[in-house]
Amino acid sequence: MTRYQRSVRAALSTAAALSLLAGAARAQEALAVVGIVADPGHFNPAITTGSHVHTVADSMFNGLVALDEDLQPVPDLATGWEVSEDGRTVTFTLAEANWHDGIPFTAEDVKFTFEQVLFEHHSRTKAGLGSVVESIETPDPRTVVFKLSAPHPALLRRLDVTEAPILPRHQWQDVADIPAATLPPIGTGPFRFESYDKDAQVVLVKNEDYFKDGLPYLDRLVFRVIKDAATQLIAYQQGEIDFISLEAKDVEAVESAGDSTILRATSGPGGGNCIMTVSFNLEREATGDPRVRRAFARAIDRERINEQVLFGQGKVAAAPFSSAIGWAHADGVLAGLSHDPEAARALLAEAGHDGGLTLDMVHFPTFNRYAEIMKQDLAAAGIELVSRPLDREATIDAIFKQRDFDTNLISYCNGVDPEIGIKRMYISSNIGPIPFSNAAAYRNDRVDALFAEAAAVEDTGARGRIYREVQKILAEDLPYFWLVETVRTAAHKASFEGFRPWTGQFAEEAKPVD
Amino acid sequence: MLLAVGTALFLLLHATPGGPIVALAGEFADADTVADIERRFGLDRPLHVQYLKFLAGLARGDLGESWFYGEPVLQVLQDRLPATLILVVPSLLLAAGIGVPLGILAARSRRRGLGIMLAALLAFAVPSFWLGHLLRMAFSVEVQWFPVQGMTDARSAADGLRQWLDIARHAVLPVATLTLHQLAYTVLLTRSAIEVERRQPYFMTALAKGNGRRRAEYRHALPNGSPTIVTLFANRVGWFLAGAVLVEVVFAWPGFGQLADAAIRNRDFPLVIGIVLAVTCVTLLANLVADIVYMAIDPRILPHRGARA
Repeated sequence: MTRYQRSVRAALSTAAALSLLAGAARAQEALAVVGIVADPGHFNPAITTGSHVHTVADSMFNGLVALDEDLQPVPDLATGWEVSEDGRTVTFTLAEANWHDGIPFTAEDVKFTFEQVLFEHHSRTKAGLGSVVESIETPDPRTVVFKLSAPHPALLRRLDVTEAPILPRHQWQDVADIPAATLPPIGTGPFRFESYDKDAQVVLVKNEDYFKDGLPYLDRLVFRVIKDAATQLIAYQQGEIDFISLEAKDVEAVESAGDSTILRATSGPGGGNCIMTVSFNLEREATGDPRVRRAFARAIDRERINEQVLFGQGKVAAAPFSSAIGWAHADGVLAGLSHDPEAARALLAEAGHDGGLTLDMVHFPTFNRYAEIMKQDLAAAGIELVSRPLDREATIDAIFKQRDFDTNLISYCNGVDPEIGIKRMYISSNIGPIPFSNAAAYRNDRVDALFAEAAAVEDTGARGRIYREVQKILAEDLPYFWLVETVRTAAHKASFEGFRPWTGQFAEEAKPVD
Repeated sequence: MLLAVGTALFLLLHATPGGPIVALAGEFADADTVADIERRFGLDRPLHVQYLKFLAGLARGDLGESWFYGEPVLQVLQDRLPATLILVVPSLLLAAGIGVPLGILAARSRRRGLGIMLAALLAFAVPSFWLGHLLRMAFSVEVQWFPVQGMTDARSAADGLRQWLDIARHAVLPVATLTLHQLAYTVLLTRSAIEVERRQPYFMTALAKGNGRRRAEYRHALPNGSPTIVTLFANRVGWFLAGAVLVEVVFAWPGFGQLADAAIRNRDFPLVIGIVLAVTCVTLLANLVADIVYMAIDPRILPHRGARA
């Protein structure tokens, strides 16, 4: 053996010894490691809608209600509720629960959280409920009464831990600047905060005093920050993490390895029921012409996008509203916009662009694959698409502030009710520098009126009819073009069960398989 | 120097499209929320007012608060410094410790030198993030000697010696990735410096006086060639830290690099400025250290040692 070989041997055995020593794990604990792609920064879910915060923080908090797999409200901090005849009073009965610091949870916490935090700083809840809720009364510590200005059928779906997490009043009531404060998170949720190493990991431990008996099953929940998707996938495959959000292209590889359970859900913390949507800049001459927009739509083969970008995991949008909101979804309303390059050419010629037309498209770099396919399809119909990938902040700036685009591609998450994630795209009062709102600058008085009408109708059937009328108008006006409904795919090791990817509290019932 | 860098950066950042809104409030921020956030960070004030405020802070050594973390920038930087040092210091030492002898070896004979030079050029040309992926496929996936990512094992809460061993095990691949580039550079650098010295008359004299080849190289050629090596090595430190950004992202290593990446994405201006100023300081410091090192090693600066040459 040469000296060189000996030293390599020595180095290797040292490395092996290091591995053994360092790898001494907690043996008996039920522990799950979850891969996340962004550092949360803080753990106050009530002041932001950002998924980077909710993915981690929601496991430490509760809403008044939770959502089941069909996104129907089920008890959480509220054990039951009653809606008055006129639909304007909703009375919640509260669970007996303690905050993580041992202080009992009461109705005052609910009132404080809504009035001082959610209606001030949680932009989605503020916009959706701020003007609907007239007052919140607390006749006794176990009862909360919401008085509404008008019946609001979407109310219960807006009260889960992602939309309306409840904070402890005793911790926050004397804080002057709530969004700027970084306090240790104290919730009622299934897991308590243990430690946070920025950009590395967040460790939560089981809340032994959780108000839902027997839950949670896991002793420890570790969120590991791995920003590079390729690294995260390898870490999962090598068993360093147990739970991962998957890109569509990786589903098959993970599934075929046979050691994983694949989860598919249309929603998750931070938004759900998302549709990849092209917005047309209606203020520009070319895209302001409905014939050009129609030509654009008919040039695109959405089936191919589903096959080649989403690997068949999504589905072609059949209507402007997500099919996951079945009672409002106008199935088939986009049937007239099927892929037809010839028809697209004819429409372009009619609009005076038979010499060809160049349009740009602003989008996140993660949507490059969509842009590639659209570029090919549009070229076949005589439209040259110039792709302009920009990072998140620059995209928002270009679209909503500078209005510097012909078209753009955004994943609009519809949420669980059209009031929450859909209305924002179409009402004219949302034209302006508001991120992810009315990107097209669409203005139609009839549509404005219908959205207002639907928001105040209690009966789901009646609301559905109004929303379907809206979608007919949208399919006709075509301020946007709805490509594909995407699905969130996640995977966890088959040694676990009970993860619920559709809710922020995804690990409440998770446990190792015996 | 810091003022110039700070000013240039301030202007560049404020010309960058976008702000910290989505990172802070999420994707549904309404006009009120946007205005609130801009007011909180003074982004609604005229640019010159913001600039004066920034300068006043800089003069006091106050870099402000990170918008994203809500903590003083200095605190955030301090928290991250150890992780980065764990990668950077061993890499620099390895690069110098292996690179200089290899460079001398390469200068000695043309035949052997060619092989070393080609390998060094190749290593120098390989992008570090790609090399990182490659090393990982070999050493974490094929033979599972080292972990894929992170600085510690997520499943164990080791402390004391065990914790350090855990960190060491996690550091091997990122350090190797980071080292290789700087190592290649050092080899190229040393070879050309030593080659020049080998042609000097004093080198022949040293050999003629009965010094062995190795002694002539290390005692005579190296000290004379070292100012070039040290200067260029120190100049590289800035580049080296930039390489650390990519390596840290690839290996999910929670140091300065990842911090910089996130700070730019989140438009966390005070933090970006803090990071760049810190890197500027390190580069200046490296050059200062280089100057001091000359005094210790250059025979022409210290005459009494020069007399021996």
